[in-house]
Amino acid sequence: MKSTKSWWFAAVSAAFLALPFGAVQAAPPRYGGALHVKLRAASVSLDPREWMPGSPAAADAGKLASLVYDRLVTLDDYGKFQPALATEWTHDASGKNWQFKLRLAVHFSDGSVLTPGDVIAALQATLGRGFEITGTENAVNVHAARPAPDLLEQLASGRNFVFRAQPDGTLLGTGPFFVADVVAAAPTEANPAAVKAARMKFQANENCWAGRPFVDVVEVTLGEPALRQLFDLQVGKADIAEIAPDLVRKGRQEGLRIWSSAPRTLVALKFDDALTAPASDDLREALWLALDRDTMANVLLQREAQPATTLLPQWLTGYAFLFESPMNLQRAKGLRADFSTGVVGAAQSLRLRVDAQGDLFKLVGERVAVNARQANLWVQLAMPSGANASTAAVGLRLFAWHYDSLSPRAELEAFVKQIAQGGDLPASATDPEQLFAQERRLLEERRILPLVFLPEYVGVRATVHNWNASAWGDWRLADVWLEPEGAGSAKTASGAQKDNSTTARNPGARP
Amino acid sequence: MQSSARKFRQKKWGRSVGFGALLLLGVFAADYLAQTCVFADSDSPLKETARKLAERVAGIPGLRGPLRLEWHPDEHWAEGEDARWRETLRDEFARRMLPMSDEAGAGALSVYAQQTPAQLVLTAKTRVGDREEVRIVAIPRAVLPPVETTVRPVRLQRQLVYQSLDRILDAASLSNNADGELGVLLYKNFEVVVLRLDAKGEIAQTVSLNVTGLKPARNPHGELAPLGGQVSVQLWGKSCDFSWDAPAEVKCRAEKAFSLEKSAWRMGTVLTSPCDASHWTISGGGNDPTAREVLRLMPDGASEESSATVMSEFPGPVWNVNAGQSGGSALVVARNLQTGNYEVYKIMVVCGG
Amino acid sequence: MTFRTKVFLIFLITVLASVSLVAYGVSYNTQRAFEQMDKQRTQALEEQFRKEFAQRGDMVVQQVENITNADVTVRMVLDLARPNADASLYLHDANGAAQSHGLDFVEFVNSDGTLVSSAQYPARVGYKNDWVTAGKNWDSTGAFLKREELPDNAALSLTAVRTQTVGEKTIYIIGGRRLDQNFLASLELPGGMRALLYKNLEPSFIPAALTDANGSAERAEAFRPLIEQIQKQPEDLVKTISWGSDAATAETFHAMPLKGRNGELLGVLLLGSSAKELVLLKREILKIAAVVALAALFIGLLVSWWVSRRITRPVEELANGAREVASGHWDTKIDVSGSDEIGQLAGAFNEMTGTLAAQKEKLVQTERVAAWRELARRLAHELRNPLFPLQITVENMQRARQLGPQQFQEVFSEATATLKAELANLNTIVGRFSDFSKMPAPEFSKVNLNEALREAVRLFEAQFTEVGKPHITTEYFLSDALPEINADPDLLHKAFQNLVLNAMDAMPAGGTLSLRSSDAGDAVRLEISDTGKGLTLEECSRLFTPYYTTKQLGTGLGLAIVQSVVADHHGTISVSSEEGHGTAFRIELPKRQSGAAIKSKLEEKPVEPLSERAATASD
Repeated sequence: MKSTKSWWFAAVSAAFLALPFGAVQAAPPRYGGALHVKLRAASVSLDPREWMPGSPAAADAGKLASLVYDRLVTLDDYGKFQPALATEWTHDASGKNWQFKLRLAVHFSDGSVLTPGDVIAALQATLGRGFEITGTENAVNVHAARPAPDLLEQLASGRNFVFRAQPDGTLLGTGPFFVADVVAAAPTEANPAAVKAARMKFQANENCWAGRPFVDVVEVTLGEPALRQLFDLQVGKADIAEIAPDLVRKGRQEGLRIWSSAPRTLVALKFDDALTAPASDDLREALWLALDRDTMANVLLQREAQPATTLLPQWLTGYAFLFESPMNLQRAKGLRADFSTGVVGAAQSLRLRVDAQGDLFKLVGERVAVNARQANLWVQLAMPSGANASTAAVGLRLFAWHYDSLSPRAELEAFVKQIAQGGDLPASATDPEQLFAQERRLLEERRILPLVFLPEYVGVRATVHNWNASAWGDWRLADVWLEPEGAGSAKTASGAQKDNSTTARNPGARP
Repeated sequence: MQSSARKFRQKKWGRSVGFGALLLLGVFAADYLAQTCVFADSDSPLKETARKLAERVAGIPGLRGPLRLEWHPDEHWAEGEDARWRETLRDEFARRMLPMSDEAGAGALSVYAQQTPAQLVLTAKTRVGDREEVRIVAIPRAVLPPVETTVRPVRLQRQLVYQSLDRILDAASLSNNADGELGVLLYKNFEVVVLRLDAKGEIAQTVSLNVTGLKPARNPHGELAPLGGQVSVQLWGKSCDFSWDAPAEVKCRAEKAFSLEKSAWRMGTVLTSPCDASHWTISGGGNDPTAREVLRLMPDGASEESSATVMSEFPGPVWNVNAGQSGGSALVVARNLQTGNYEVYKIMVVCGG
Repeated sequence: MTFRTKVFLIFLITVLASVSLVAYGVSYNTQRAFEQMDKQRTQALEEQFRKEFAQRGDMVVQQVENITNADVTVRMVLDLARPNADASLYLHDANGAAQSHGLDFVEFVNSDGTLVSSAQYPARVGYKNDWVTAGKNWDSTGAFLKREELPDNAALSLTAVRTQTVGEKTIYIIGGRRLDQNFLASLELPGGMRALLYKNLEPSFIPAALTDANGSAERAEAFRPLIEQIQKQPEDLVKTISWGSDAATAETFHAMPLKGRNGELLGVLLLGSSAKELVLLKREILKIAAVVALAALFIGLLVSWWVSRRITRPVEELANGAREVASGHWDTKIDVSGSDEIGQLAGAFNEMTGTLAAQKEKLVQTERVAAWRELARRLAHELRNPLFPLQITVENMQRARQLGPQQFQEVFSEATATLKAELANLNTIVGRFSDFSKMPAPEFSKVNLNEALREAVRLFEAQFTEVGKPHITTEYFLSDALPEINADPDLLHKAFQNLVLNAMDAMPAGGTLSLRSSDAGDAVRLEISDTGKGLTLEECSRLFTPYYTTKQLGTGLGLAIVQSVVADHHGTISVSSEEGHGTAFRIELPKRQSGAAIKSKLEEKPVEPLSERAATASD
């Protein structure tokens, strides 16, 4: 049970610990100010229809999209679905037919009124096949081809935003902000190959149906390198910035306020199709047994990650704890000893390509190689940047999968479609037991070897108030307000200190 | 308190039924219906869940009792809940010919309770021969019964007088009597509602203000100022008056932007001790919406660090404090971080330790 | 080959030899000097390497100590010493320490050997580094060479280990610097030298593991045998690698194995020295030597020609003079001036010919006197033998006058008979002398020598077997294939007759007469031997002297005649004898005679002194 620690709770407690506890006198929310957000992604598409399920890029896009677009419903931190663009909803016993009553007098940022037609167009595109959406005067009906008891979870997450596609290709939203300015990424003069960070400016929507957001402007800088993000937070150039998992500890040591989500990214290995033949069963099993996930999570990633033995995380399914850590070096060695000599990984080394970007994943990849070596398996790292990366035969890939749905079934389905290529899940997979069986079957194929789960880490400057992001990574920036710059109570990176008499420190000063 | 909640929910339930064009049938329907009537019957969802799990476990081929129930709730499971769940599960298993035993020799049946964003997942795991059997059921978290939170009153008497799923903007005593009726200002699905609760905490009257031209707000805030049968409500940009006797006639007018800043409730609220008539100033701990808040009561002349300061921890951030007219008690509006409910506590300084 | 040619050649050879010797000597010494210099340079470089190595080691030790004593480290150690310490906190600390202390490799190892932090291979964190916990006294151990595992390969590192102890827990701080081309680049190399480093991190030879100061070494494959040899036997090794057919491309490598703490071979330092300068210098020397040799040869030719002329002219004159003397011109004089050895030699030669002429004259006189004396003695002896009976007979007749007539008559007739006989005897003696003086010149015709021998023996066969006398047996060993030769059959018959007679006389008690003939190339060899009493040494030496005889009734002319005949046939005669066992005469006669010349020669020199010929024959 210990290993099945709830990430939700951890996330809340982490935030709790990181926040200035008892440091400030009560201050009422304040309107105004510009919120500076720094993201690592070099470019972001605000068109949900373009997002690739599971891609880490979609995560950043989702964050920005939630500034501009609304959903029919949202999920609060207490497991309750809250009305958003839909005020009420009902469904029939089969779970196939749903009706959502739309909120009246909701306007897009250009002043036009939201109609059921907009909702139908948007959701038909994002929910995709399997759903037929029709409308009435002030409601939309969703007909699912198979029971969709998890429709609310789906609508409250992922790319299921409501937007209006305009003839010029731009998208309009009803959300708390609208896109005021986009500075497109342009090559720098010095290095044409390097893309200069793009900027996006989101202006507060004064007439938002849910109330004007507190901040006037959200300025988003894209393509910020990880260390730069940390630095920007320290010197106050950023109010909110992603923190790379390997920099979290450093950030904490420097007294930054760091919030973490539930695990949102799966780092896993995938065997190439060539190695999924029964002849390679022992190889895959041996590698599966040789992997030391605990050390990867607790040592290499300094407890900023969780060992992963499942495809979906515990916080999403609730049953992941049933999959115990399979590490068994002795058995792995035993299997290895039985290999015929021609098997890849025995005589010739197995090439591992790290598809995910970043040093962190390379480090995990190296650890995989080290683990494999313990079982006398030879795994050689091949970085995709290498000249012969595309031509060289690859046996293993290390990839990152980003969870973006609150529905485990939808998530697993997307995963299977994108990664495992296992076709559709059975309709009954909405039942958690069926889902469990399905996931176990996928895992037992040993084509995908989960390694670690990574939460999302966000550095939040102490001047940012009402930071109340959801465990699954919804930042809820519309509810955030900023302490006025230069105010006497301006807080600094040293907010984690309990001593509230030392609030006036220089930004970035070490505690 | 329980009954007042029930009353309110029943009304909501009625609305839902009135709206629904489709028949709400079956388990799923019940689940999703339940979320809109949280407090309808606090035990039935629990029993329903236990029943479902017991049915699944009973269906495991070859499983024989007696079994030893091992209960593994996740971390934020309230302590007081364990016994209730265990008992319900035992009952349901026993009803399906799976007698439970506490003997060490009995086969273990582990039941895990885990929360996901929207659900509570119950997993039963046992062994039949050398086979491991797993059965899983899930219920929406929203249907779970509310948890009795244990609070630690420290020389400060504290009483939970009302809780709601919807945002409570303010609460005020409608009489000088500390045990009298309460008025509660709610922001419910972007509408402003005033409730009148009787001495038992049940809803006696609901007044929907239907303020036209009220801009939706991210930080809805308001003040409820009862004066005899009249009620004055201060909202952002609007102020309204009505009488309990004629709730339909609500008069609203535009007002210069109202800000909580002006009222500065936390700094200024003062309680008078019934023992020595000393004045205790209430101050807050912070404004972090994700943290439990500690309120401090300082006697005159003492500083925050003084040993005389009394502290009281609330299960979440405190949104509002409203001193009663008598000055002997105050109403504290806080949000319970565990359930997400908004709660009204009555606090008063009591004599003695 | 003339003496002059010899002198010339000797002189020439001497010049060539000495030039070659000098060239060889210079070349050899140059090579030695080069090798010495090379050795010194290599040694200096080796020394420099060791020094640099030690310095780097000290630096690494210092840096590791700095890390060990840094506040951050001490804090970490204190923290790790606590029970249930979270080692993952320090995951990146090694990297930070490496960066701030300028080390390539830094690792922190917990007291149980677990790797806490690694700058070079963070993925290994959590694994055991048992070697470090197994080691002792790290704080007093200097830097050592170590194989450093990296994610995608391995490296060679100069590593030091220090410890920091809190309570019972010891934390190990391992730091190292990469040993690679930068290290090589830091070595100051003299011209023509280069240093390479082979990182022996794989069991077999990997060309890419060989680096020079600029990175991967070119044509690394050429080093395979060298490296493989060291891998087999890690000892210092010197080997020359030729990069092409030209010897100047060759490079000599001094290979030094670099070993780790446990003596394992981790690397090989190769100090290469190009043979180019040496080879070019040697070629230059050879070129100069060749020119010098040519010049020396030319000058030598002139000089030796002149010198040999100077030296050999008097010698030639001497030789001519000697030849003149040899041809009988005893009084030859040569005309050589000067007071050097040659001049003295010439003087001595002239003196010698003078003395020789005088001596010869004297000898001729003496021999002539002696011959005459011998002749006189022989004559006196020969004549006295019949004279004595004559004298007795005459005295008997004088006394018989006093006797009666009858008696006188008797005596008278008896005496006249005796007188007659003795006078006849005297006549014979005079005839014999007369014969000898009248030895005719040979007249050559074809002669069968075997037949001639048999004929000579046949004359005496009756006497060999005469009754009442001891018998003499005759044995023939005659070669059937003996050709006929040019000879005078009458003279040969006379000579053989004398020899057979001589043998018969030597065997008064009988014996065996052996006759042999054989072909001896251009000549024919004959041997007539007896089993008589033999001759004494003195008798042998005088045997052919005329009028010398060992016999009671010999004239001493027999063998002199034999010798005369043989000499007239241009043959030789020799005698061998052993006293008591017999005597053998061997005659060699040429098969052909150059008739006229011989005849004229013989005619020219009929009066050659006997003694001279005898001397020649008996030599």
